[in-house]
Amino acid sequence: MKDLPENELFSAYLDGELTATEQAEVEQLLAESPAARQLLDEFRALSSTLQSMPQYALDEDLSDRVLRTAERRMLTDSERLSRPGGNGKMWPSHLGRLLNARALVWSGLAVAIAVMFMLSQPPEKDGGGVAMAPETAEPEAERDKDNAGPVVRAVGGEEDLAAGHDDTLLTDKKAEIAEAVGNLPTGNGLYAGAPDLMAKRGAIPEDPHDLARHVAGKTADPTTFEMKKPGEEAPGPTGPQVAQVHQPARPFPVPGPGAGGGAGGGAGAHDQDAAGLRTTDNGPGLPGKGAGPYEHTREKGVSLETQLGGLATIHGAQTVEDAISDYASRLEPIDSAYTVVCLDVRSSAVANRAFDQALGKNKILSAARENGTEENAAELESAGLRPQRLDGTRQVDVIEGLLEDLGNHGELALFYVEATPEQIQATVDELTRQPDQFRLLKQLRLASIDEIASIPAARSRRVDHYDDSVGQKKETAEAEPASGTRYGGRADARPSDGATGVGDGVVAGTLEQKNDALKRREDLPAGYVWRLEIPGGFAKAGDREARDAAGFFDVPASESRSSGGAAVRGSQVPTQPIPPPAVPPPAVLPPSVPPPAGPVADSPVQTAGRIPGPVVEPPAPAAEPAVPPSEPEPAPPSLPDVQKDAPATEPALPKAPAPEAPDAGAMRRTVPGSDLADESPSPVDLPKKSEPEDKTQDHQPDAPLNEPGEPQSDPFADPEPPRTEMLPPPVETEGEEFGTQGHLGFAYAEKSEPAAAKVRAFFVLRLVGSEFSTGDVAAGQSAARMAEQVESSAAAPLPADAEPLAAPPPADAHQ
Amino acid sequence: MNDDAQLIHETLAGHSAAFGRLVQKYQDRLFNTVAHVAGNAEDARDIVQDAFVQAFLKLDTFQHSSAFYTWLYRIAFNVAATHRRRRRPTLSVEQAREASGQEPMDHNDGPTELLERQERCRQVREAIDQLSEEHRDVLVLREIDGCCYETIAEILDLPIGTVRSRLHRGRLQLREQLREVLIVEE
Repeated sequence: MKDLPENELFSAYLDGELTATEQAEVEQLLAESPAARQLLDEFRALSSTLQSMPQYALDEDLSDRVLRTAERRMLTDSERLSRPGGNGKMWPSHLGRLLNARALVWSGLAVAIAVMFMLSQPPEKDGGGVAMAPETAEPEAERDKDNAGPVVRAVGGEEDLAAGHDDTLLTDKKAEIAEAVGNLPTGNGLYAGAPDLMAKRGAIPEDPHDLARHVAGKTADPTTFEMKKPGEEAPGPTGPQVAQVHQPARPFPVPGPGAGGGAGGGAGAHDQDAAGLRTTDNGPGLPGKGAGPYEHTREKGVSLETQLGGLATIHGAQTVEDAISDYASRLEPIDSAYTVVCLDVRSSAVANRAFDQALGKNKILSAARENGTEENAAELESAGLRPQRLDGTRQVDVIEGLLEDLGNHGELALFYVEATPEQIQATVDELTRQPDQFRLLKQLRLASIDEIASIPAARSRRVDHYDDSVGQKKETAEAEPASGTRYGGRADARPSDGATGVGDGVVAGTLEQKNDALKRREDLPAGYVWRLEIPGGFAKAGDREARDAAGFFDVPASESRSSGGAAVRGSQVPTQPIPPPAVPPPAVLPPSVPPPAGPVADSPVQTAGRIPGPVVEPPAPAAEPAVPPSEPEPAPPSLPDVQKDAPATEPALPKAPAPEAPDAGAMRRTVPGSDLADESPSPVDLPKKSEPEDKTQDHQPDAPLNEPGEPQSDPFADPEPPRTEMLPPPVETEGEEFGTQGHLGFAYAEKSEPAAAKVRAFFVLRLVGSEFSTGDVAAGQSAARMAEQVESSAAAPLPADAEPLAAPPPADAHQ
Repeated sequence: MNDDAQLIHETLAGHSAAFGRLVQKYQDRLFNTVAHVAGNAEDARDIVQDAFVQAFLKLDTFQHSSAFYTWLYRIAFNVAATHRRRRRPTLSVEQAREASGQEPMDHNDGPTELLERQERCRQVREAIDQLSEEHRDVLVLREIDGCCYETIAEILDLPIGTVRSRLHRGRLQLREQLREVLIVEE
């Protein structure tokens, strides 16, 4: 018999998986050996621990999605569609039934498009079908040189579908679908922003046949339309004043084999009349109509979805909201902050180009098209302000995932915009001022990796980035310890708050404060998110030496005090900056706020940088908030309600010299690229009252962030240098014990809007047919909740006239 | 004919809704298991979904020689293995929590208990993540899902003796990594 602990019989004994002989053998050993009994006890404790783990549970019913995905997989499995199985049948019977009439529509459509393309090819073009495009395509450099205009991938060829095809993972399929369909141009006026501009500039042949050749001769562009002029090698720098629109993806699967989808999309997308009332199908076209342009028949009561070939069915806005929220909650931070705006769009808005106009009014992309002059376009080019290609596909991938969730709830289109926050918000405002045309579903702002990495929290941990479309980890930001940052006790962190993708957390100076903070961590005012700082990472009990070495515990043990046995020591930063919802933001944004009262006001400055020396301790906390003085002071602001949370009964600690940092402790706002760990408090750290993100508070009448008369920042100005705004200084409290195990760090509220001059945004537009009433009863019922979600997100607020969102427009408004 | 067999029969007869009921029946159990294997809920969601999709597409090959969920689990673990191979290796110990977006929580606890419980769970998940894949799979199937050795062997296509050996070694490793937690609990 093997010696302990290698004797695997003990494990099997615990599981009741032994034979009678083996069991007797083990029991004899247990009777004789204390070590054996101890091993078995430990195994039992281990099993108990594992079995007591909370269970993961899906928050959705996967059945619909599974069946949809299976259907989609069948539709896109070119090999099986084109090569029936050995037994002569293409699919088992249960799968064949799943291939509904829609599949037939797709298949017939693909054939029609293929035929159209074959007929449209000029004689000099050998094998000029779309399926042959990869082989006949010129080298990229040559192509870019010789061909102006957007590059549109021709998809649908067997090689194209077969390349990289893997039947093992859904995520692979998602990526494949995204690649296959992500480059189809969209039209219908609503989508026609970029293509329209390009067409007017001669980038795209307006004749469908020419366009077909144009498309067939182009190479794949995985992400965007790109405006290029002959000789251009790479996109130039992005200018601050004129934003760009990219149209990275079209979320509709391309059905079946052969040459169809891409070409059909291309052929139809840009053929439109000048009046804009007659638009063409951008997708595969109407069943029975091939891929040719057709006239909208909205006046006849035919829904846009039907006109587009029955691509999707609207099941209700509630489902869309859930899908968005669900997806947002799972988003990982990516390399650039961006905003996602989800809107319902009526078909009348499509025909009227209302979205294009809203973009144009706000100088997004269509600055040239707005005035309809080529001169403006030339100006853009000369200024190097042409649209830029996305740096990568991650954003698109993430959005693709979002669209994947939304894909069966309606016709969707995606616009990628680079613009200032003001421009984006103004566009949203513009759209929501047309409640009969647009309905704002969701507005989210997702934090960037730079923002995450720029705070100590991220430096102390690894921040992983996932390419959601393929489920692969794309990047890991190696975190470096935030040197010298004073932690705030034990923190609990959740990975994401959905709206921002930023970890939040709770920390406390005392047990009571910690608990209170935990309870109230959802009470941040709109536009603020929790940041969590874990300077030393995970620390175990008794690991004080390591903690001290990390510089987080430089307080003599004699100054410690007990606080209920919990891991409490250090600053109570998070409890201080949490204003209750009713507290106006000025209370937390220096310098236009009064110095804090109580322990916050008198506390020493606490910065993100290393603070050597003895620990400072808070004075007795004030029972009531101090009355703000009229003159702004460099001292940190107070948070009246938070002061109430300070432990009035706790004894004061010996005072220590306070490091000098006038703004330290104030609410911290990080800017991508800032190096907080090495920053010393300086005037630049003072908040910029004219920050664009201050607009996010405009919807709170009692919470103006700016002083009256304060000049607003120029939205087109150069990006401001990185800076940090600090929360009120933390109050030092000491803990005799550091707890058993736990993260040691602190959390703080932070404005979640970026200071960057230009941000990225994705407008996700869901077409809802001729009227909002299509499956949108739930939308009206939940409009108030949606508005709250928007407000509570880091994005800009709804405009004052957004109220009509709560009530769907009359059904006959656009009949 | 048991419930599963009936649902499979209906599915093969063309009633895809019957397969939806199979999904509903097993999705949470499978998701919980796969989440512990994959280390995060996000990957687990994709794996589970894809496992169901593959099961649906290949349902006509199911021989009924084993329980449906065993067959399903086998598919899921194969998908998970493929998924792992496709992922970049990572040393992140925060992966499970930070990448998941989902934190198993017991909301009945008070704040302090919640914190401590979460902390303990996080430690356990970290320890599980640090196990080798072969040990983790066996341990999760046994301890989290409660599978017997025979079922584990069937799912993972291993001899029962290998299951027993891997389970024991996995427990030894986990015991070492969680020694402090186990002591605290005592």
